[in-house]
Order: sequence, then structure tokens, then C-alpha cells
Amino acid sequence: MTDVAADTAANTTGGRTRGADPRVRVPYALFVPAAIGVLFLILPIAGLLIRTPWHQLPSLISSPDVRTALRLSLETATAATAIAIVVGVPIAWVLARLEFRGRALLRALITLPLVLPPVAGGIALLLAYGRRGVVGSEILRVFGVSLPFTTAAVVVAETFVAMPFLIVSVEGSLRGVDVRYDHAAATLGASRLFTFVHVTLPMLGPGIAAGAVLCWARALGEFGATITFAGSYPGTTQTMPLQVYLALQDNPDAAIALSLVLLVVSVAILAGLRDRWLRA
Amino acid sequence: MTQTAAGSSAASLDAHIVVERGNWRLDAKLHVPGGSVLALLGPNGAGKSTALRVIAGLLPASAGHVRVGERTWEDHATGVRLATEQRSIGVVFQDYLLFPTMSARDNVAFGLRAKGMEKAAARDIADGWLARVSLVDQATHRPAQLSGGQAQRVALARALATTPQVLLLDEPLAALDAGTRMSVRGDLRRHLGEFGGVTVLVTHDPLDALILADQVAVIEDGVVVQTGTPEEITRHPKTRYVAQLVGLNLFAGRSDGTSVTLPTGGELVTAEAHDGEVFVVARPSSISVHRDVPHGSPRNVWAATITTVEQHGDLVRLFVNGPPDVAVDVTPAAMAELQLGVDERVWLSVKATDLTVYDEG
Repeated sequence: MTDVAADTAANTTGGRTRGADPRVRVPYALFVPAAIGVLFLILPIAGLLIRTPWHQLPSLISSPDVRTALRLSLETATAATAIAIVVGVPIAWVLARLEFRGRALLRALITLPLVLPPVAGGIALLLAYGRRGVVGSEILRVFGVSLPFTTAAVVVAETFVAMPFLIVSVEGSLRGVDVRYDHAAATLGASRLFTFVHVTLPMLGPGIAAGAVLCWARALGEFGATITFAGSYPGTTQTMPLQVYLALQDNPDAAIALSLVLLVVSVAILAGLRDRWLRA
Repeated sequence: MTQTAAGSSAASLDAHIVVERGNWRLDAKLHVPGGSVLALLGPNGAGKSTALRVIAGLLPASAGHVRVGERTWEDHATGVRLATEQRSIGVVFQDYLLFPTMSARDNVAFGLRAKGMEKAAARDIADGWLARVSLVDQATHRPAQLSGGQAQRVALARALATTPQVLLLDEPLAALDAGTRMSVRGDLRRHLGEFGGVTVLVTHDPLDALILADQVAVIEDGVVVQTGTPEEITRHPKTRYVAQLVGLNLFAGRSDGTSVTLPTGGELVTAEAHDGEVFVVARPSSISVHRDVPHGSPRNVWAATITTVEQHGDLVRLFVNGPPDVAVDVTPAAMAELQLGVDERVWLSVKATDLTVYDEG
């Protein structure tokens, strides 16, 4: 994340011109739907803040249940992000640098979880890695291990849903890295792997960091695939979003407090990314 | 060409480079003795950078061979082809391609690190190279913090740090502004003089070729149209194209203040004061031809005899023997008015301000 922070510092020194551009002819009628839309987006956040039981907040957040769910969420999201980096960066390299038949198809398949409803993703995971799944039944037979409804299943579900964010981000960064740096490294006697590790990876740093943050945020908020594939067992598979949903039934104040925690995390992520995405 | 190990740095380059792409074809035979500099001179798209990429192994040739000393890097007859990282080369790319995430020192140390040298040892050697290109204070700077001239020197140091047998320079001065170019060109000449291996330099600028190279090969449409020393190329261009391309009068001489003594005879007065060995360049169009001794401001006036008259489009080029011998461009109208012809005695003049002086470095 230091790279993202460095970008922030560099960009803010640039300074921007403010005020209306005299060349722009403003169609004022657009302001009406725009204002309605802005209100629509902001009001729920405001509602959350208004209805938050601030006095009980410390005790609600510090209850053992919440702390367990929070820790589980942070750990699984971090593990999912780590896996996504290890597997996703090489995938991004293949997609960005190699020309081959079926590349467009491969990219479409890999990014499918971006648009697939997470619940459907969870069902698909069960069919593949479940006790009776295509691969899962073999794993159970050979190793005696069943994946669903374990903490590992949470990580699998989160990785499945969140990794495409990292791949798309890193592939974009790779396309911005001149292939000729590879050539320069080769003329200096560097092997392909040495070049990847010492030249390409450092240049991808900011892209990987941004992709990892997006991936982590998506994993942290994962609900549908997790509850389908991993269930909702307190302590092992009940992450924050699952607990929020369940708390809403019998303890709405706790649900609000937990939502507030997730909101704070999201705002922190947004602050870290604002230079990359919010400044068009 | 000896087979001793010590002779490896003095190995010569022998290459026959054929690249076919659709109906475009490059076919160039190059021979560069160890310790000398060959310039491939030609317009953009002539195929000179392609030749460089073949020598570097970045582009497969369609036919031919690349041999350095006793070693074969590529030979289509036997199917041998070394990967780029297995060839003993250093390349200075046109836009340098310094690794942006590394300091100048780590850029220079990269080749040594890639070959397995310890970080500390590689950095020591890199610091030595940075000292040689006068960039000690910039060792920790990132490429983005370097000026164009500094980046060029880091790129040169990086290419030389692995002590390659062949140094390849792709338009090494093209990215620099005119002012920096002159001083960097002088530095580059000095470093190439100290380099013991083969240097192949690609440029579209005749001045780079004439000043930096021992031999110049002019490439046009994928074919080497003339090879020779800078002197031969400028004095005796074989084709009209070469004559137009190297349309420069280049004099090597010794400067003492604003006066330059030429070893071939004669003396030139320049506007800028220099000391020591210099090159003086005069464009053929900046030299005037007169029937009688000219009066007025020109500082350089000498008598000469026209030896050759060539028509180049709407321009006539005269080759005139002084000393100094020069090529002069005149218009057909001036030609007729002055009744110029072969063996005619004429007076030549050129203003001191029309002479450009370069320190030999």
C-alpha cells in the first residue's frame, strides 16, 4: 500500500484548475435526475449513521461473537487475496503478454465471476468441490477430506468471487508496461524468470496493490457464495456479512453496528484508492 | 584473430543479415574488426535498426549468420541460434529503457546481478562505471530524476558494465536536444575509443556516423549501398543518395582559439573559440562560389579548382579542390550566371558563423 500512498502525495502536488470551464454548455435539465440519483445513493449511508446506536456501539462491537466474526472475515479475506495474487498475477501475465487462440474466451471465463450472481457461484462451487462434486468426491475418496462448510471453503468462495478483480487490474497494468523492458533485460543477460521477478513485478507494484485492495474488499463483503458453499457456522464460516444478516432477525442494533464497521472499512479502502479511480 | 582467451574482447563481428518481411527485404553483410566502430547510416525504415535487433537476437533472421570471433551466435545453415541473454552484448536503446523502478546504480548493476554476482560486488562495479560517466552524485537517482544526457550515460554504463564483446547503439543521440547532443556525442566518442570490443551504431544523422565511427555503411531500402571510412564516404559518395545524405563537409583539425589548422592544408576561422582537436562542419549550401576575390565579411576565403559537377534535382553539387577540398551546392541559375565548369578556378568563401565546431572529445 505504500505505492498507493506515494501516488497520492505525487498527484496532490500537481494542483488542478477549479471553476466552470467556459467552453462547456451546461444542459441544466440534467441536474434534476443527477440530484435525485445522488440523494438516492447518499441517503442510505446517512440513515445508517443516523440510526446507529452510538451509546451501545462499544459494547456491541466488542462482544465475543462480533470479534470472532470480524477476525474470521479479516483472515479469510486476506488469505483469499494472497491466493489471488499468487495465482492471479501469472494469469494476468498470460492474458496480457501471450497471443493465442481462445485468449478472448479464456478471459471471458476467468472474469465470469465478476458478473455471475454469487449464489450461483456458490452452487457451482458445491457441484465442483462439494462432497458429491466432480472433484470434491474424488478428494473425499482419496484424502478423506471434505471442503464445504469449513473455513477453507470460505476462502475458496471468496477467492472465486474476488480474484477476477485482481486479474483485471493487473492485466491492465501489464499492458501499460513496455515489453521492450523485457528485451533490455535479456540483452543484459537476464533469464526470463529473473526478468519477471526483478523487472516486471516491481513495475507492476502499484497495479498489484490496487488489484489486491479491490480483491480484498470484495472478499470481505462476500455473502452469497459463502453462505451457499460454506454455510454459516459461528467461529468457522460465519463472516461479518453473514452475521449482519442473521443479527437483523433478533438484534437489529447489532446489525447496524456491524454494518457501520463494514462501512468504515469500505471508506478506508476508498481513501486508499481515490487517486486511481476517482480522479478521471 | 587469435584464439587466445585474452583476445576475446578483441573478437571481430562477421555477419550476413537477411530479413524478409512481405516484399521488404534486408540483406546486409557486415564485418567489424575488434576495437572499431561501424555506423549503419540510413533513413528511417531503411532496415538499420532491424539489423541491430538481429545481432542482438531480438529478431530472428530469415537467413545468414552472425559470428563473433570464433563463436557462432546464429547460423541458418546449421540452425544455431543463441538466445539474446546468451549473447555477449550491451545495447543502448534509442529511448534507453532504463528500468524505472531501480536507481541508476542498480540499473548499471543489473547485468552483473543477472549473471549471479553478489549485490554488493555488483554495486561496487556499477559505482565504478558511474564514475567513468561522471554520474557519481546521481547513483541513487531513479531514471525519472535524470536529465536526457544523464539517462543516456547511465544507459551506456549499463551496457558496458558486463564488458560485452559487442556494443550495439540504436540512435543513441536521437532523444537528446541539440545542445546536449553535442557534449554527449563528444563523451560517447571518448567511451567508444576506450571500449575494446566491436561497436555497431545505428543512426540517421550523418554527423553522428562521421564523428563516432571508423567505418560507415550506408543502408538504403535494406541494401548496403556504400561502405568506407567517413572520409571516403564524404569525399567520394558512390550514389546520389549517399551524396545527399552525407551532404556535409567535415574537417578534422587542431583548434587554437578561433583558428583551426587542418592537417590536409589550409586554415579555417570559426566563430566559437576552442582548444585542441576538433571537427569542423560546413554545409555545402553555406559555401559561396565567386569568380573574383570576394570582398566583405566572410572570414574564410580560398582559391580552388572545380573537379566534378553533379546535378541533384534542382541543385548542383560541385566538388572543389583547395585545400581544403569541399563540396559546394549552388543553384542552376548561379551555375549559368558564373559560367562554372570542370577545371575552372574559382574563389570560395564561408562565414565563420556557418562553421560548426565539435570537440573531438
